[in-house]
Amino acid sequence: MSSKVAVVTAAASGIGAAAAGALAAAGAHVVLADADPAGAAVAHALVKSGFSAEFVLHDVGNEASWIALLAGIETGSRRLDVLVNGPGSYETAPLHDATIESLRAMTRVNVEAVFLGTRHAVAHMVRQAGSHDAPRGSIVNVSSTPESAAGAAAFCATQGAVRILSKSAAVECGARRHHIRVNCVRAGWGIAPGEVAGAVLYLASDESRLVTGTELAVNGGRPGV
Amino acid sequence: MQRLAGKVSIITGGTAGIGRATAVRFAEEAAIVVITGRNRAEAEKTLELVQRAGGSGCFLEQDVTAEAGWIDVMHAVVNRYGRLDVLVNNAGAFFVKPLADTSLEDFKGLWRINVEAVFLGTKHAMPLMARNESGGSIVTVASLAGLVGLDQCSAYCSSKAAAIEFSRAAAAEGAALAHPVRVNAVAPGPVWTDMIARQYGDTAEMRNYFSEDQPLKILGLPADVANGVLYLASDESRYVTGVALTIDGGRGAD
Repeated sequence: MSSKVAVVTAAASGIGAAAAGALAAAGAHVVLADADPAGAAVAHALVKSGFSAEFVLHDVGNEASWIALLAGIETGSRRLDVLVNGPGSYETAPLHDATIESLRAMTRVNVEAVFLGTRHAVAHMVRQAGSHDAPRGSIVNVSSTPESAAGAAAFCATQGAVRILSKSAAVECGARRHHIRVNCVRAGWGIAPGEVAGAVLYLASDESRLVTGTELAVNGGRPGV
Repeated sequence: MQRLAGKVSIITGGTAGIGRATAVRFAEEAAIVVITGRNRAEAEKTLELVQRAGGSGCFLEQDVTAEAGWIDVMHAVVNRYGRLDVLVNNAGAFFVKPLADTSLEDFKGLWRINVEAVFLGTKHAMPLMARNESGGSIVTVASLAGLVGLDQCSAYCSSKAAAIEFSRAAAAEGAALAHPVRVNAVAPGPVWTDMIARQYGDTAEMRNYFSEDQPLKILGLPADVANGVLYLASDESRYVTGVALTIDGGRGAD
């Protein structure tokens, strides 16, 4: 991953932080993005370990925030090679108690965030490629598995959306003859974040240059994959 | 790199194509590579590449459809290296034929290699791997054809679908062991191998057809599959089991 630049959202903790760490350890410059300022300490720790990282305060559900984030990368004379859309939020409630507000809140950070990130990252990769080269890059969206569970209908709806959004974006990028790959990692509920990092790294790297539109479950083989 | 350092690995069909590329990739990551197959001359070529990549290993002659052969291979590997960590069920067969022209013998022949050999290998590898503190990893080279239907490939598609479902079910059993054995499949789409080049002719048109036949429009190579197998064989995927990883330029997402 050396000389590559990766943006990782939800990087202040959990799967996002672990993915950022793995990408940085593999030699990428990692931009850790999160609305939680604790991400600054995660980035700082990576830099102290001798890796290349920085933190940017970022609201994944806000389009202006995405535009500013990617503009910042350009201003720093860096390319964007990888975007990892980390996990969003998670609320459970039986259907009869679940509120539309809860669904909307999750939709904002779980679905709209991935839509905005994927959209702006693709646009950025197309722009930076210029008119002669095919745009390149890898986008990894973190979703979850199992895909259906009692008491989690609203959350599951958002996760299914991420999975299909990723596949559709993969097919579209291919149809436009881009070498931009879009894949989905489906993390098992309650999984140790470090277990997901290897999957993110594989899908982010050129080792998976033929892999797009796939969904890679990391869940210890639970049924229902 | 050392992503498979010291891991004793069997790769069936290691005499050509994806098997050969996997053997070389494994050697680069410091695995001990046992390749099996029927063509000794081609096996020697793979071993030479393995050595050039800085690895070590050996060739065992094997008919993957015979259970006695599997038992011999397992004994030979344990006698020589003391353990087994990784099995890559790579040997496979393929033909294109209209259903009406496909004889039961054609059908059974494909299933023997694509399904029965996977069953036999997994059955005999799993208990050996379960002896290791670190368990083991079994990777079956299936095909995108096991997930989508292809014209005039009913025998092939059904056999690869069986291999994928077999892996998923075996994964559940392997996960329950005290030292878990992971079982996964890769599902490659169109890949440009020597076998394909010989069958269809190594022409620019043919290569172009292969790269245009999926959304990414790049020619899939054996190394692309080998990298996916490497990920699933290594400890980087130690929480991944029961999956079918598509390596297909997006063909299956279409």
